[in-house]
Amino acid sequence: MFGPLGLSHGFGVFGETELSRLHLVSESLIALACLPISIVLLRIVRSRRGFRFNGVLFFLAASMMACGLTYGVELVTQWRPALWVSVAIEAAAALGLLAVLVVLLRITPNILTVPHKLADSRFRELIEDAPDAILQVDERGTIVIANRTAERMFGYSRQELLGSNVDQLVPQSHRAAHAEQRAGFLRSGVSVPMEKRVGDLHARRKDGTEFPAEIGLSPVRTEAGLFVTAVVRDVTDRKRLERELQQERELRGQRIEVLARLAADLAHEIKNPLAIVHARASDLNEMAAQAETLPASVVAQSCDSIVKTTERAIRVIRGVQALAHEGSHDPMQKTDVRGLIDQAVELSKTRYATHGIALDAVVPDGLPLVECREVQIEQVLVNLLNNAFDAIDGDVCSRPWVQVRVSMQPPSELTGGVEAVRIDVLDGGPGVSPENRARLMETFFTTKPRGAGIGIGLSVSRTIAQDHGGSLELLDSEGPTCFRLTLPVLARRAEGAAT
Amino acid sequence: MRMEEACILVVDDELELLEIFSAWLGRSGFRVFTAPNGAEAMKVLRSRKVDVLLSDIRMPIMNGVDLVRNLNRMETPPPRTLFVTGYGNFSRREVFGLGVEALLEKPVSRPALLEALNLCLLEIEEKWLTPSPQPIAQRIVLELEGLKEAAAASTFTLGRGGCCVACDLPLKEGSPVDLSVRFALEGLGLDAQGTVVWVDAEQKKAGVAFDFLQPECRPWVLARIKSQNPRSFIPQG
Repeated sequence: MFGPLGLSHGFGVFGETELSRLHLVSESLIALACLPISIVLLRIVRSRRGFRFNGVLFFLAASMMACGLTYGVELVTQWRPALWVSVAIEAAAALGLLAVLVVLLRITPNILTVPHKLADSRFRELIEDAPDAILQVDERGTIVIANRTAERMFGYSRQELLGSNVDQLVPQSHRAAHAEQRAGFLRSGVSVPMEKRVGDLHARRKDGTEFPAEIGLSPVRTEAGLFVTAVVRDVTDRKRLERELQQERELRGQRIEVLARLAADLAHEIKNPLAIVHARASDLNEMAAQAETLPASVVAQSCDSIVKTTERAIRVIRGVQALAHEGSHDPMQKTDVRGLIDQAVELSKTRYATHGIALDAVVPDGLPLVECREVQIEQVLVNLLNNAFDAIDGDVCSRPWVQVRVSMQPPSELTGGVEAVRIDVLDGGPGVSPENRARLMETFFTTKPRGAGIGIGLSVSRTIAQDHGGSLELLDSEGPTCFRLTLPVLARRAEGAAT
Repeated sequence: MRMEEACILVVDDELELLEIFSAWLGRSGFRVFTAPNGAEAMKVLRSRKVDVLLSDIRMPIMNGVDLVRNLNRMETPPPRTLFVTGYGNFSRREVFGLGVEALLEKPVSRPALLEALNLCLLEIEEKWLTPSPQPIAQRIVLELEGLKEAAAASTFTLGRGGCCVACDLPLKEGSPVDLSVRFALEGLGLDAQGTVVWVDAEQKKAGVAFDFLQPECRPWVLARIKSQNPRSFIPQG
């Protein structure tokens, strides 16, 4: 197949004019086509720096160039043989093609990973159900991409979202400012991660409702212009949790305050009896040091005082222990108020009857169950009945009656937006004087003679009521003395909302 | 003034304690009056001259602090006042600022009570004469312009029994302290030993009760207290 010239393309067609003419035209066309192809390839390589298949393109361009030249020189050799030049260029073309082959073999696995159409749609699926709404808008704010989460979050269909302005997803009151911020963002072109956003942002659904949102923005530069990708997260749940945590903290703070006050009061209440015991004992000690024998009456009197005072201190401590423990760890349970009141009345009935004081309860039908700690509320009711009894019993001018009245209170802010049961304890006693009224709920404040009560009943009762999200107050009105215990039907929710 | 000449009013709602205190004080020579609360005490104070008032703080109807506030509003000079209390929820700064001279904590022994009363009955010339035998660890040093300027800037204010000073040392209530204050305008110096009565770390202030005054500064300090006659035992600053 090789003649004396060896490498001639037109070796077998000399002598046949028709064929050799066709051969000349084809070779010229190949030579002419190879050059522009290699130029186009080189331009691609130059303008797409970093494109991962540039290597193969470059070698391909070089080989094409060499091939074109080979054909060009071949044509010339028909008339003026320049065999060395021709062979050298051909060799270069061969080397270039070998290089293309090597590079091609090396990058083939890479080429196979380039997403084709199917893979592209899978990639889109990936963002479709991302936990955050993902939107892309152009420079004018027109939405060009929206994922399925965005549809769900804002309540618009994709058709409605695409092509409309992103400002409609912003609350009315913020729209003007938002357009301005958007313009500012486009000017600066710096991406804003979600966690860097400060202040409270809100977004608006199709139905006009708003929700707290966190928004991350990043600019996307393309040949078609600047786009902005916005990732929007609905933080309603997190904000609610934060609020609840804050309320819980405040509530705990209040409890600690109550405890601190209680501790100060308790110290006072214990140090007084201790002062008496200390004084009596040190007096006895002093007298014993001075005289050989002490008169029995003096010793008896001092010891009697010491015993009585110690007992008083113990009563105080027991009261505080009861306050710390009784029922405070019981779970809140839905409880029938009528049952609670009947029980409290039953417990006090005999004492009232023997002193000729009338006691009755007016409880309407159809009361809802109240979520409470039964033991604690019972304690509060008995305490109120005891106070009413003492008020009447110690005062000759009192009218001897006590009544428990129950009524419903519509939902109010004070009870955390739920309805509440009002339990009033009214008595015909002399009432509470203005100066005592202010101090009534103080721990250890009592109007009863020393020893009769230690003065923790009302303050403990009030703490219990507040713990239930309710209140205990002395009504400031004309007529009979009335202590009102208000208990929201749902204690837990009210507890959070009350702060 | 001696105990035998002094007339004392004891106020406490704890009647048994009132009885015990009366017996103790009566034995020491005081003429003793008693009242179960601040309001009753005011009645006694309006009807006769009382030299010393020994009062509880927490009482029904009128507490000890209100009692002293009311006393300060009266025209007659108020008696020297001591508080004896088991209650902890009050401001020491305010109490000494109102003019109370000592705070005793219940339970209090008879010797401790009598010692406090003795100190309280001393005339100003008899006070602050003995230096502490122990070395004192902390020292407040102030270089100030003048007495008036210091009072205006509340860096140093003088009371009947001590002073309020600007100080950012980590002081502890009840601990002894050395005091060295210079007043450039007057060319005066105050060198004293005292006890920290209250500390306000936030405002960087402390109330110090005098225990001892160096002989060099005694004359001007006593003269100034007498001429100014401040109601505060230790100013609140």
